[in-house]
Amino acid sequence: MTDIAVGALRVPAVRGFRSEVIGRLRRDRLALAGLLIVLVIAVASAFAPLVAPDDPVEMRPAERYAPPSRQHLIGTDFFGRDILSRLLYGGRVTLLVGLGTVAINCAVGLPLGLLAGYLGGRVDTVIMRVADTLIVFPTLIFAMALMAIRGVGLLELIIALTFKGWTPLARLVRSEALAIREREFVQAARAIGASHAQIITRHILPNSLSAFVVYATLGITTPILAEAALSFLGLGIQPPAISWGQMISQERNYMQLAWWPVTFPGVIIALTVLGFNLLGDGLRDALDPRLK
Amino acid sequence: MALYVVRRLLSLIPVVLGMTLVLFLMLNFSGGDPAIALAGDNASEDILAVIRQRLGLDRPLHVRYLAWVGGLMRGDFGVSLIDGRPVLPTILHQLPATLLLMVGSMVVALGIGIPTGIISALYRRSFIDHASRLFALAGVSIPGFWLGLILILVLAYRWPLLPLAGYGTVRHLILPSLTLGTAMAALLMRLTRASLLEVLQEDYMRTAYAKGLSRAYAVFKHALRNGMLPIVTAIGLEIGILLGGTVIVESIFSWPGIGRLAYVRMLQRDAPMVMGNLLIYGLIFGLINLLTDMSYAFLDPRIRYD
Repeated sequence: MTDIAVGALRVPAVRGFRSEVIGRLRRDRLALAGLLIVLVIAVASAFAPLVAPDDPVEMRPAERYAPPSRQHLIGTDFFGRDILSRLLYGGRVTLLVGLGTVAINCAVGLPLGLLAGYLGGRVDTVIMRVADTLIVFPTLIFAMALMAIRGVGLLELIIALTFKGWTPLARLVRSEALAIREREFVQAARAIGASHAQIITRHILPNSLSAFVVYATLGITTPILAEAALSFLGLGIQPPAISWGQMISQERNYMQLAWWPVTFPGVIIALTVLGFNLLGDGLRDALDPRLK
Repeated sequence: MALYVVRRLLSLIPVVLGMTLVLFLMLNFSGGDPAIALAGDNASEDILAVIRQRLGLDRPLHVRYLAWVGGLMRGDFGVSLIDGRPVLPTILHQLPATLLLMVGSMVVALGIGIPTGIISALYRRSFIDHASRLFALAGVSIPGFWLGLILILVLAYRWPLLPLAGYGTVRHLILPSLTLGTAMAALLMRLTRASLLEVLQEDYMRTAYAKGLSRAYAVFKHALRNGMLPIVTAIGLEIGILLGGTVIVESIFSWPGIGRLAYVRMLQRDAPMVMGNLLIYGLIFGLINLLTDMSYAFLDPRIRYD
């Protein structure tokens, strides 16, 4: 950082917020490791048709449970399918479900949190009461109750992943909005005649962006783990679509015969979640040390 | 204090009412028709009408809701579609197994998480510190059901030290508790470390050393007492997550608790039974939150009860 000499005083030059954040992030080795993990898994899954060494669905009973080798790097499963290829294709589904869930959670949680925090009063009470009520239901049990009535399906999976997923973000944004609402620049904006909509979009929203980015990064781990668990129980992604949790589910009864079809999908789930956790922690520290 | 307890108990009422509302809406507006579920897809309209009348489905919605809530308050959670037995006694019969599993997991979580967190904070940047932080990172990233399978693979198949499923002895409790408790142990370790590191820098700790207290005495009598407050809140929140995890762990280890009950009955489309389970899970969660708040107020005299 270069200093500007003002008379006898040395005043640190003001750096842009963005370059300051990037600077902090670049010094955080764990966060960079997280970013690398996430990027590698995301890119490899996105380009699965190009990267995958084998067809993910073609069955070859003769190659059943081939152990890890040069030809099948992490072995084959019960149907003789290459596990690495299936992991790459499964990654698309898993990441898509994760991103989609976070998008829905944000689309619901962000406006509700802004409204609750900015308007306060009865609106705040109603929104927060609904949030208080929904969080008491564990995701898996809620999913089961829903599917006991409606049957297993994609819509039911999405509802199960999102019904209370928006509450942490809404809470976070609400508390930010509450704090910012009372600041002088908001009062000034109000004094010169800015409307509620203008104040929310120009002042409250940009100021809650840090909380939002951190939530979106850390928040993706919850649906990834929940989808894996539901697919493991047979209530999530259904074959022929592939998901990591479902791969484990199909092989668990034979894991005495072959350990690799159960082990590697779990490793990749753990790595993905770890990557997002490291990146999210790093972003939080870099964007807003107060959030720690 | 007594007033505070009463007020907190009363604050549970809107949440419980909200829960019943959510369940009622799910039951009535999510597309499934209980009459068709009972009579089958190709039942005639006459038969459906009779069933609807018997179930009271022909009455207005608010009347049905009030009647339903009234039934819940008397312990009438409805009747299973599979074996025709009342829902609540079946759930209560299986509840102790789930509570036992939660106690076992708590022992794992507290027994591993808090000591390693303390050691990590006291010997910062040592080998133990790095190892336990690695454990904390892994613990929160590994899917619980997969950890369970790996534990079975290693400790039941490869080296048959422990039973791979079942219920009855302490040995049966070990693998399920490890599976469920590890993530919480990791989180508690992280929190204990962070909280203790903060407290160790406080002025009163310097005062304690200055007046000649030994390090061990100062840590245990001063630092831990203050550092434990945030941990208590976290434990409360974590028990809630633990509760949600019982379903999958009970399914893996054939543990005869209410989580496995919900799963088995869900596969049979026994909606009343699974809904009853959801309600019980929600009630337990609400109670845990309540106890957490109260223990926090009890432990920290600075918190006012009014």
